[in-house]
Amino acid sequence: MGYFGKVLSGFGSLLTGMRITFSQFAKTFFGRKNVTLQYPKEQPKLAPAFRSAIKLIRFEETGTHDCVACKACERICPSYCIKLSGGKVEGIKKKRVAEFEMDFSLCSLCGLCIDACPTDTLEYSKVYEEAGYNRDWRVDLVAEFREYEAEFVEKQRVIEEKAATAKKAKAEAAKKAKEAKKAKEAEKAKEAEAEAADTAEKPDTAEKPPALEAKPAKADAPAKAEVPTAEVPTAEAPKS
Amino acid sequence: MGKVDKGDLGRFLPLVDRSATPVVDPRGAEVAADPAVVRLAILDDLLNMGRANSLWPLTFGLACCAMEMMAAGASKYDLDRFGAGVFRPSARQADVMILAGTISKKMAPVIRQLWDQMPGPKWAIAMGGCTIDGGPFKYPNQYAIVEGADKIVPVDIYIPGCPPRPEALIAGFLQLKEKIKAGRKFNR
Amino acid sequence: MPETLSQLLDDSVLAMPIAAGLIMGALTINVLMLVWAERKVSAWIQRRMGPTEVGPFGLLQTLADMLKLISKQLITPSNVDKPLFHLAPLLAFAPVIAAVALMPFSKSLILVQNDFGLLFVFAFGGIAVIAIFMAGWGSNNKYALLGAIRSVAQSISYEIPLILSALSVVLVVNAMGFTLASGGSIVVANGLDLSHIVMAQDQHGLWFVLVQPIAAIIYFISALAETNRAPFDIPEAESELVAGFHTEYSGMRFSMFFFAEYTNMLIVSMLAVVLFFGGWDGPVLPGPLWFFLKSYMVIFVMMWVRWTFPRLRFDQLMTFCWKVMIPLSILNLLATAFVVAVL
Repeated sequence: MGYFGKVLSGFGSLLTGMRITFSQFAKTFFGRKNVTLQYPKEQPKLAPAFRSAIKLIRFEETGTHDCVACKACERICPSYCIKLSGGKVEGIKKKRVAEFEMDFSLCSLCGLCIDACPTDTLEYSKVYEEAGYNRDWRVDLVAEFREYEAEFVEKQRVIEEKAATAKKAKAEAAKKAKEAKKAKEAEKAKEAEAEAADTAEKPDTAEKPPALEAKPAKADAPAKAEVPTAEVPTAEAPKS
Repeated sequence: MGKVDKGDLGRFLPLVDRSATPVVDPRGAEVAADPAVVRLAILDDLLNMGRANSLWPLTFGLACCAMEMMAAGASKYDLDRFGAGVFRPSARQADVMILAGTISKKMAPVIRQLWDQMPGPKWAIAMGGCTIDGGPFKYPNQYAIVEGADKIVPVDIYIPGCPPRPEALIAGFLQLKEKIKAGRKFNR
Repeated sequence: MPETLSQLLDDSVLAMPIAAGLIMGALTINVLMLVWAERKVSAWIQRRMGPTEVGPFGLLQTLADMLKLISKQLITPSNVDKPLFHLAPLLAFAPVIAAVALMPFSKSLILVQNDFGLLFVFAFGGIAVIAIFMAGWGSNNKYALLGAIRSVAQSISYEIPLILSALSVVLVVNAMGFTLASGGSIVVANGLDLSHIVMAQDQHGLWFVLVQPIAAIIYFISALAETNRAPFDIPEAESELVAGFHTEYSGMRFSMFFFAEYTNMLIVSMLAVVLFFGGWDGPVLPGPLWFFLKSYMVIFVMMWVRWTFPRLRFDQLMTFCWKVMIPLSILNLLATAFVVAVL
């Protein structure tokens, strides 16, 4: 390729470049198609894994978050951006968070708090267009849940009471069963002593407790479920 | 224009009430009563309109947030729609300094120098957690980072995030527009 | 009725102010539109929208820019060479207005009729180089100085092929002995008179881009370099020299450089239209409209080129000028002279 050949081929490649840009120009100018997302008028489609500042999840069954103020997130945060307080709440056993302060300007969205949360109540929010005149970006994550807190405490109290009574009943039942068993065993021992026979009655003893457990008025489900499992295959257990 | 439709994504519920923005008209009522002042004020508003719609940023990135700044200037987000797409390489011709990224103590004097080189009514946008208050690099006894751009330049808009999305930068520009239109004078 | 506008203006005391006002107003509107067009064209080439929020289609965007630039602080850095620093924007600004006055917008719409218009336009183009060098030297800034040095080297180099390519057109006009019907009398075409060049094309129905295609291409490339436009914008290469020769200029002083750059674009494209694309020649529409349409088409190509090609390195720029452009233009001129002599 000589001098003129080089000049010509260079000129040709320039024209190729101009053809490409003109095709893009024509697509936008004549085709009225561009790739711009007109942000304030249109909102972007955020990816499912999009990360923004953390927030507390609102669970459907309780209508509020499930933070127990264990401070696992506060301890694991490498940026020291979480400060939370909380603890025992009057009336219920469960601990609740009182203030969950997150400084968005310190957060680097590493997600360690989300991994560390024992109750899985933290997740990334989809807040993506924050800007302001103020340098204070501390956010109270519990704020939006405050109004539901009393309701939740009331519900939780009821649940806990129920659970407590159930537990008490269960404990009583177990106690009764134990006593009954003891009595029976004592009886048996007496019988055995009386007969002074040579055979052992082990299969009998395995079958007897269920029969005895049916006696207490407040038999609870797990105890009932155990009845078939002792003898028959587990397939029957869910039926009952 | 300018009003940002939040959609159903919701906003933060902040500790401090951010809705009470510092956008207030510095011209008091008694000043507005004087007709001459009012006429000047109209001219002022015109100039402010011009300033608000022609915010030329400085071509200047500090760290990773600068990538998002570039994305905001590129085709997908197109800052040029608001007249803010003319990135000027020289500080003498720029209006807005977008502090996009971590400010190390070595860089701080340079930033201050650039800020001093910028003429006339000028504004600064702190983009990203690092420029707001040191961000992830802020920890006890750290020695390398300036904890907040407002320690070296007066910042107008704070955009949190690590990094903020280009939309957040555009939202910041729109808020800066509102702030300028509300009538600041040559106070810097 | 006076034959040309220039004669009308010659009769009046107000000639100078009216002409200056006309040109200034027209050029300001032109620059406002060109900056808007540049931003829109760049946006469309990059498949985005460009300015949309200020006025319909963002048309008032540049007005907002002007308002802002007017109200910006004017910084005079310490230790600048004050006379040079203050004069440079004015000196960049003034010759472009003078050059526009020479342009033949139509047969009768010529502000200043001059027998050697082409030479004057090139001479005024030369003054712009001095302004740029004054800006760079006076700024007391190494980047500004480097930008100015580059600009001077570039402009002086590229003026040679620019003038040589224009000269081949002049040669054609002069040697072919076109006769022109002008104002009832028949005159022999003068190749240095801009309106004669257009009339030669107009009356013979042959645009010189067909007669001198190589000269047209060389002219266009050199014109890009003359106006410091991409891909030859190394005087203000922002990746190397902050903003080149206008690094230290703020506010209106900077906008005067801006004004000069865009008006320079208009001048070189108008000259391209005069030399190669038949000036006001065109069907149906009135002459001046054709003239401006063609000029803006050339400007569009300049913008298109700007947003397509990357910037040349400085040595590539000089190599390209001295090893490609100048030999080619000399060859073209010699070939033209030979053909003209034989015919």
